[in-house]
Amino acid sequence: MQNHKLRTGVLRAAAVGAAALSTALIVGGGVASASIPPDPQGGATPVAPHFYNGNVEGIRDAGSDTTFFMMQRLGDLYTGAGLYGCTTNTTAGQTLFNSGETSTASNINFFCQSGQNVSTTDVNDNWDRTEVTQGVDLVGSGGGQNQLCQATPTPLPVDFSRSSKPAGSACSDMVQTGYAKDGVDTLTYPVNPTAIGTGVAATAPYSTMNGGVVGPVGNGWLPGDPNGGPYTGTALTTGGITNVGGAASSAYELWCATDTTRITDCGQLTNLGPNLEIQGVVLSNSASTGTITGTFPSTVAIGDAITGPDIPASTTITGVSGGTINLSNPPTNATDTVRITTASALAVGAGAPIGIPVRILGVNTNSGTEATWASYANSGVGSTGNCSANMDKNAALDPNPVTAVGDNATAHIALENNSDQVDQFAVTDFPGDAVSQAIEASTTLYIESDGVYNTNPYAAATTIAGVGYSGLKVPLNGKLPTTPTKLQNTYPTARTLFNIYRTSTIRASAGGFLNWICDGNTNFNKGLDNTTGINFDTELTNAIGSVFGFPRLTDTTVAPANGTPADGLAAPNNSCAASLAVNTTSGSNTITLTAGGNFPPDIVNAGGLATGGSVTVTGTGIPAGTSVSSGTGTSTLTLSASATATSGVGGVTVVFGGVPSVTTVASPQT
Amino acid sequence: MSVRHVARRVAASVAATAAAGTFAALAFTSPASAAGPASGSIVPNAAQPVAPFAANTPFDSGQNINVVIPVNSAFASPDNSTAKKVVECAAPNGVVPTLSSACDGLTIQGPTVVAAADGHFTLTSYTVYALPDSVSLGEGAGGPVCGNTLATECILYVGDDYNDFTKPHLWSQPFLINANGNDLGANPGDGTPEVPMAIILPASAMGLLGAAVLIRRRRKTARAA
Repeated sequence: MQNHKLRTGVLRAAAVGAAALSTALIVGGGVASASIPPDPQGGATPVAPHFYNGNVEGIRDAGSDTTFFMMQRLGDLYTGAGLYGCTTNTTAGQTLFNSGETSTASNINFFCQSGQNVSTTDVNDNWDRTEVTQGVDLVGSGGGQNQLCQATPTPLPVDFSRSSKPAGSACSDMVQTGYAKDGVDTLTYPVNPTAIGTGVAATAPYSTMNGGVVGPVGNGWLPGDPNGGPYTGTALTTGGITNVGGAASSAYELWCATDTTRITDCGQLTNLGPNLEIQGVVLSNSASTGTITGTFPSTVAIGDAITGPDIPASTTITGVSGGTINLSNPPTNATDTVRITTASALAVGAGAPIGIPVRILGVNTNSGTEATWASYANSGVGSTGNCSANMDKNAALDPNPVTAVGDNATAHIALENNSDQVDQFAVTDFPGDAVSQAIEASTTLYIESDGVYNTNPYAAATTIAGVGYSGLKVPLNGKLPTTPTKLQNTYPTARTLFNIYRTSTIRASAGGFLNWICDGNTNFNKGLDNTTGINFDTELTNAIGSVFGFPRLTDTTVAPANGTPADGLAAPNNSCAASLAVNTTSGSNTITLTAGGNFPPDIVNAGGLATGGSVTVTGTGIPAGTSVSSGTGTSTLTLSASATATSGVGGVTVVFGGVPSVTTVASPQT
Repeated sequence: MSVRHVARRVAASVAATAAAGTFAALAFTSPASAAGPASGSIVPNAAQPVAPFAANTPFDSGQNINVVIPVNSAFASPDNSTAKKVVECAAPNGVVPTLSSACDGLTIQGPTVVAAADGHFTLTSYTVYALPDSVSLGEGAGGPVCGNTLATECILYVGDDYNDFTKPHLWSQPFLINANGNDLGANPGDGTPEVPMAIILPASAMGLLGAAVLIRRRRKTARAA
């Protein structure tokens, strides 16, 4: 009986607990605070981070193809947030949020009213109803920067540029806000031409190569290999490409070199041994030798086994000198393709030619993707390198002399980030000959954004005879692109994706939008997207990271140990945070702005961030772990630790973690 | 309501749940045809630990595993020419996600993976992370969660486009993963105990039923005495 009571008690307790829990859940989940929010800060004098001036404005970006679709999404989110923005003026004479403006009959809906928010108003997400659009007239990061700087004409205004490369020299006051990471991949296409149609090319010049039978060279196919494999060459995905060695690197030799060091044949990349194929060997029965024009590869050595249609079984090499090898058994007089079993493999780029040209597909020189690759291929060579201007030095022509005329007579230059152009060029070059189209595709190297590749299967593939073949990523310096290798800049072409503005022209509305992207619910909390029920910041993170495949950077992301990857272009992780020149004094825990004036109000006092944390301060002479203690909005900030160095003339630039990049605007009103 | 009734109801509920879970697991794991799993199926043991590892232990954040996909109809020719993406997705209580927002694109593998003509492939050294991961992936809160509880179970999406579940894809078995603060994967496990749930749940149900019967008999005996 006692047991029964105990059990009953336990059950009652459980029931009460469950009821209490249910009540708590109902209360917690269903009854939110619904008070009408007051107007945000701003107006005639917009303030960071939102820079609300109460004017309905349109802002426009231009430039990068890589970030085009992502910025469309982010712009749409921001513009959509404006649905729950301020109440605009509806009649003349209304009191406006911006005291410098007047509501008249001719400017209805131009401005936010003062004190007219409603229960659904969102004051943290595009309260003053900015509309964001993306330009496409001049595509490419360089083009966008030039338009921003007015170094190139633009048909429409440009408030900031989309850029997948750092700010250049088009003007001197560009500031970059890096909000995501990426990498540039080089792709080889695993199309097997022998598996298409007749499997034999019908059009010159491919019809003359190995009798028109060409396998998937990027996968390691060598002439004589079975069409369906296994292949005896080294796949590009195994060998990879490097930029180590300056002009002697395989990257430079492919994209930049124009002299005899230029890699022109697929075999130089894949015919490395140990089952080394040597074409055009003149065999002499009387001399028991084999000779070639030029010299035998360095790995060919005495004792290596050699096979060929006119070479007796069990023959080995008994001597090597330049272009002549001595054989242990006399061959039949002939000119053959032979195989030599070497003890070691040749380096990528030093392989033996197989008579099949490698094709470099050029890329739009306004592109940041192209600029990144040019810098990678040219690194170690400097301004005298052939890719110092761009990577298209060796861009391939139409190989078919019949179609290489008129508009198709120049080098093939593609838009960045879309592999489907490979087949479009091939179809133009070899109309009606799918096998030749396939050979052109399979011998092509093309570069593309890693994020685009990962998230857009169509843009990652070339389509031959109705079948899409995803490109294969070729390792660079032995590295493959992953989130860690991109964030840590160990992937050689890791890069930061920026929005770039000019300090002399940045408008309040553009500054607010850029800060909205940069802050990750640290400086201020974004609200709920009333359309989806998801917090706007979660939507930003998901859009940037998963939908478009770019690791997101915010104003709290710390700098990686290595700020510059092997391509030589800086790829910072912390440029979404505010960066200001300040004066420091060794032993003092206060700093002032080098340019004078007050620190912006979003560099808040200790504990003042939306997260409850403090703004971190990093820079030369600032001890690790330092944060802002007090002084927000004033001319002097007090830090949690004293500086260890005194700044010189011009001060020292420090980064304020937790504060988005734009701290002041040039044009508070439109 | 007596304890006996409660015990009976609990036992029945657990048994039903377990049976349903077992059925669901079987349904997911059964090959759709002779060509192997069809698109949308769970592939048992697709996420395989690499020795050495501790059995019956969650994966450890930063641990490298192999993703082994057998012959299947989802990736068989002609789909095999499309590169396969492998990403982690949240699968609370082992339920396969229906929204792409459950998947974390930052966990995608480095090398290109292309299936053989029959759809099979093996991706070696795929790194799994407890999510969100700030150490290696730079993530904050708000995205998919993968942890070491049933409510934070994880699953691998394997397929053509993790943003579009209508495209050919398969799922690994659900698994658990421990966070460790350094992503070194120093305590590698096999991602369980999720896989044995199909066995554990019915066994638990049987145990509860047995207990209920025992209580009943004791009470009968006590009354008779």
